[in-house]
Amino acid sequence: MKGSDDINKLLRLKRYESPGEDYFDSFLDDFKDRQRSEYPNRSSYSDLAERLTAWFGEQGSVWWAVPAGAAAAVIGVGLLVTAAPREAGPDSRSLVITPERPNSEDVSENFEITLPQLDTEVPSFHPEVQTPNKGIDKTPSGLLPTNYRQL
Amino acid sequence: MQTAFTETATPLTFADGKKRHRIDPDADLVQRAQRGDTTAFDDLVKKYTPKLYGLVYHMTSNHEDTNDILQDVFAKAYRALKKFRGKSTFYTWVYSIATNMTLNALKKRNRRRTMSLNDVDLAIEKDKDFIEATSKSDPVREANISELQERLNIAMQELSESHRMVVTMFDIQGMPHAEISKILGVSEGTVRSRLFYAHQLLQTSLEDFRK
Repeated sequence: MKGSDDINKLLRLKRYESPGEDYFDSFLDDFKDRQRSEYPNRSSYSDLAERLTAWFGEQGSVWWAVPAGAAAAVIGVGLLVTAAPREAGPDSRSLVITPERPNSEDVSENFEITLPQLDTEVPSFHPEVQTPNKGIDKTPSGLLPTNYRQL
Repeated sequence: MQTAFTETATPLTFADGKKRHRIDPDADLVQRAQRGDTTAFDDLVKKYTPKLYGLVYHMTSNHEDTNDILQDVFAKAYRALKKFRGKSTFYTWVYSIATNMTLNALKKRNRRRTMSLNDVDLAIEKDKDFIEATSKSDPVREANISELQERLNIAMQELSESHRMVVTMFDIQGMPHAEISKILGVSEGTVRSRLFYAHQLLQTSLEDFRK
């Protein structure tokens, strides 16, 4: 025997390796029996995993875009959640709250709640305020309802 | 009447150089199966089990593993049948499923080298290659069938999965290079180079038969 021709011939002979006709005759019945017995045990997770795998496979060359997009979404949400709060101005009143840590003596971590700056004058229903010639201008903007009518 | 299910989307170049769409001989069965006709799917299973068995068996050299994988292949094909759009023939599509599942199974299983070989069909005695291989009075040529089978299977198992796959599809199952390249998703040149390299390795492993 010489060279690759011999190899080809030997390999072609392998097609005669067969389990026998009985195997193929009974394969279909065995297949159906197995499916009937396995179907109730299939978990929804395995079905979902298989469907996702098939879907990704169908995306072809752009399959990478889907996990890339998902990763970008996760990063975006993470940035929103961890976005730093507005810095408190010098005139703002701040309320400092120290969180209670029952098992820790380290209270160095404090966080501040910044409240909006309030005018010292509290808007009231004093007649002087309500007259068209006075008071309205003293009212801080934004504290009156927009449908407030000047009398 | 040709429909999307009766012809492949990508035309194939035939021996006369002309491009035509291959008509899927299983179009009717596939359509019926997709509509829920289980007997149509049964017919597809019966038709392609021998071919797919050969693919999986020659990759695993283990009958039990082959049976398990084959069951999973048809189960998956049944579940995915409604998504089959006829871009290829049904045979190519289910063959691709079998190829992928076999490769995945081989990666998962431990690197045990236990083989569970099938008996050789008696029809081999009429094969001209077998007659030639055993006719000359050479000690090597007088090797019995089981020794030949075992030597070749050991040599095949020593190949990588990708090389073993092209040998199985081309040398054993007689599949053309173009179809192999389509199923494996590689170029025909890659198929040919893998075959060449695999043959080199097999020749080295089977030095005794070259005497």
